[in-house]
Amino acid sequence: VPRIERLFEVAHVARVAERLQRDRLHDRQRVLHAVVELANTHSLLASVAWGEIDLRRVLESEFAPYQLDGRTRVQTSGDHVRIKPAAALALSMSVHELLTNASKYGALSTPDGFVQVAWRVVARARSRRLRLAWSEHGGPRVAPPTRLGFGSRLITEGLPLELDAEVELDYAPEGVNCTIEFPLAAAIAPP
Amino acid sequence: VNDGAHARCVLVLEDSMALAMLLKEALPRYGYSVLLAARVGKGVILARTEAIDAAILDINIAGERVYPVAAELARRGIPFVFASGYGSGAIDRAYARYEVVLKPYGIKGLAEKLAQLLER
Repeated sequence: VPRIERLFEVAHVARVAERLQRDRLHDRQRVLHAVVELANTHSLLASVAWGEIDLRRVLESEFAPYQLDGRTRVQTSGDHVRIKPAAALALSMSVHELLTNASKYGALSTPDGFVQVAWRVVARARSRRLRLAWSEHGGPRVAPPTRLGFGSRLITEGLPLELDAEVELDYAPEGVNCTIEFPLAAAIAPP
Repeated sequence: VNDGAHARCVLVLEDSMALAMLLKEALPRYGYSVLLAARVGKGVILARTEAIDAAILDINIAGERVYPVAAELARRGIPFVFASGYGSGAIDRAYARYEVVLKPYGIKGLAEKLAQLLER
């Protein structure tokens, strides 16, 4: 796929998102953030020539804004694993949505709350799969949303579509949990 | 604005998760429900089994050409257009009579194109 097409993805998403925003279907700030987020991941992937990338690197670029002043609001633990560009794009957008939600309503909306993100490679039925678990702690009591927003649908519908992922998103009262598992070979080709 | 009760079903082959999910969000406002596929294999299954009124097929889907989906739709007589970005290359001559919408197309333009397809 020619490099220029990758730039077109950002332009195209920006154009469609802008229309949604004008139709007042979406919060202006969130739509803008999602586009900037996509562009950031594109630039991270460009730095590895759109090859495989270390998952930790993708995640840490997301978490950086929450790790200021020597505090670790997002605790990470996981294997060293390289993922395909399509997986990096899909995961970074999903994690971005989880982070945004956590900082508005969840564990990151309070001074003492924190998030644990753990991942490992699991072998199942001859395929290597990545299993990533997100769990929020110490935040306010969670009430399940009455209606799933675009961010939640991106995770629960977008990831199965794009990465053949199995996803559980649980609004448990003590904190949101999300597990995402997908075959590492699923994102066969570039996005 | 359509209430969705009589929405026409559009199959969208698109491997950008962000774009696919935004289209699924936007098209119902124009009276279309959306079925998504991000891989050619899944697209072929949907094209073969689902009640689809029209389709938009990105020519390159995750490194594969979308023609097997086009073939299935053509067999069933379901109208469709291709979508193509800069540098996607030419359309196979077998499909020269089908229209191509250029990326980055807008939602309104796409909705109008779909309306045209359904009028024919």
